[in-house]
Amino acid sequence: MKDQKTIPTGKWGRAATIVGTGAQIGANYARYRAKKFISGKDDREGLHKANADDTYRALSRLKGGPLKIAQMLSIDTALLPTAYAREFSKAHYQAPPLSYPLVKRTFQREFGRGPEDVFDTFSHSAVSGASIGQVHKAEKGGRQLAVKVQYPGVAESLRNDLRMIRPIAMRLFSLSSAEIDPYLNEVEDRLIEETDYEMELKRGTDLANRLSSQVPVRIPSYVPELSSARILTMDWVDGEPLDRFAAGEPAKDLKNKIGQALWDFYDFQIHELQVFHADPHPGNFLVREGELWALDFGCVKEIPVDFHDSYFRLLSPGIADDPAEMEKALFHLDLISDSDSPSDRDVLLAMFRESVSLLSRPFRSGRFDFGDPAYMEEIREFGERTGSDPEIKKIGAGRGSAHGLYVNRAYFGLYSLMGMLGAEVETRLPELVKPESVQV
Amino acid sequence: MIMDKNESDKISEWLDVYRRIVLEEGEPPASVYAFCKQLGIEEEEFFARYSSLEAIEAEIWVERITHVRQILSEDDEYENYPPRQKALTFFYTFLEATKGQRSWYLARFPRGYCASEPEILREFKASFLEWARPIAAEELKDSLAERFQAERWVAKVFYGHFRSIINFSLKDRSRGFERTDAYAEKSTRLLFDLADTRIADSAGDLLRFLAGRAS
Repeated sequence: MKDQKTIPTGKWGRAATIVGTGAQIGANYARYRAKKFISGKDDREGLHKANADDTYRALSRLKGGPLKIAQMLSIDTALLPTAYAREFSKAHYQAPPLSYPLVKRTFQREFGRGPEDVFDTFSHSAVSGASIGQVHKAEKGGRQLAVKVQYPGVAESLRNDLRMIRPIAMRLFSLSSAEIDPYLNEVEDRLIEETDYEMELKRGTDLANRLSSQVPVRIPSYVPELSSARILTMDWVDGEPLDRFAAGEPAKDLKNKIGQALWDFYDFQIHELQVFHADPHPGNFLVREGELWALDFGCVKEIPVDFHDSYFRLLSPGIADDPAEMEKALFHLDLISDSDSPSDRDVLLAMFRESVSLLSRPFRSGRFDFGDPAYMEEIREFGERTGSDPEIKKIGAGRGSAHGLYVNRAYFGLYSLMGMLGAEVETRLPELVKPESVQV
Repeated sequence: MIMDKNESDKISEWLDVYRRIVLEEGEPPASVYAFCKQLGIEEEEFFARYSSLEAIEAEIWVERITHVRQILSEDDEYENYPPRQKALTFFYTFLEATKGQRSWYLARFPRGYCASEPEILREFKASFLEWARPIAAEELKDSLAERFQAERWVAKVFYGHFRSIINFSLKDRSRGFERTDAYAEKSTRLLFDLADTRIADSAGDLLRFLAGRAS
């Protein structure tokens, strides 16, 4: 990748980059059409790849907000063809470091004292980056701490970025503004929440309390007196990120134990609490001494009970083989509607039926092996096929409640992590919270 | 000029009163006579230190720069920072030091830094450049530009940048003026990234060429 030399600042600088990308995507389409005309061969994957490269390049030059959006999109392959997902997933590892004077300035602002007065020791450079801030290592009274410092003004930039990304997203997913707005609003709400570290502290603490004794997942304790809206201090956890852990070929028992903890972590949050950690990427999970630690409760999604029940009704036994029941359930979720033409409806029904029967398999079997390469390949193939099918892309995007965005994202992330681990876990069918009230 | 405690308290009171008059009345005192009447002192006492009302306004401007340089010189870590961190520390310290004087800056800070320098900011600029030159020299160390004493004009670029930060902060409407912090960070990074490239060398080369013709 080319070294970044310039940072577009100000709204217009950013707009120029984004508009540049819009034009570039257009140019790539033109190239694709020309190629198809000459060779008579469909090079759609090549086109997606070129578009993803350009979009990603523009987003990564902007850092901050768009980087966060890139991360968000990177994980929702329901909307993204594989080529995009691959490019966007690079975003996890790119972030601009804040200068130490700015870190000091932020401390001055929040606590009226510099970091060296607040802590016994404080690392001048960041130990790791986060898209809206960075993590420093500190010590106080013998306690090892991780201190997250946020980039100033990030909430406002996020709003600007979303406004500017709207036309590009509409173009990428072939959606009208009325169709895309509920999703972008949902993303904006979550992103803005993520900039509020006080809320993250409250939610992380709350979740830790509710999880304890239920699920064997550890959550680092926060230090409220050393935290504020822009600075978040918590215990330092010296663990191995989940991707590195998986790459180290751990023993089967350990692998399954970690995988089970991860599965149960999501199972409990989504089905018991209807509140869940919605940022499941490998950097947010650490393994230390055989235990799983979950980090970063900035992105937490709460779903209404009604939505939960309508959505997970799709997993009820037999529904995948009962077209009428299936149709009713999908109708209830706004995934199909009266305005669909009969032929569109057939295409959608077939796609959703396949999707449900594929993705619900782990839930239905009681014990499931995510290490089975055939299953992961089946998912990949399905994603590729539906993601690049122009008909589905046209009629399938922008459907269903915006709540589904983060549920899909959580499950997509969870399945990817489970696949990466290759763990074999015990599963169960989720129970509906109010089974009697779901009339479909 | 070295002042004892009483003297410096007295001066800071004069500056406060002058600022208050400008901010409340919307214009400077009509004359030194009127200003002295407000202060309850004799004109003689005023002229012992300042030659005009403009001189006292110039003092208000330069005073904050002196204050910031004083803070930096007392900071243990500052000396060891690389140039770009020194520059950022200067800007943030300045923003912090002028936090309580926003109204003054809004009322009196000259807009458009391309315009010729008002007399009143001369000492302000001179003091800034005095601070900036060694930083520029440190940044240019071992480059071709160093040999042509390019730090003089690089320091002037820093000054333009500093004024752009002040201008940005005056237009900033974000919570706690956070966007100004981000602007200072990003624009300073850009400035130093540009200096990191061969631009400084190319500029040095051009200067050498021009100097050769002139001689």
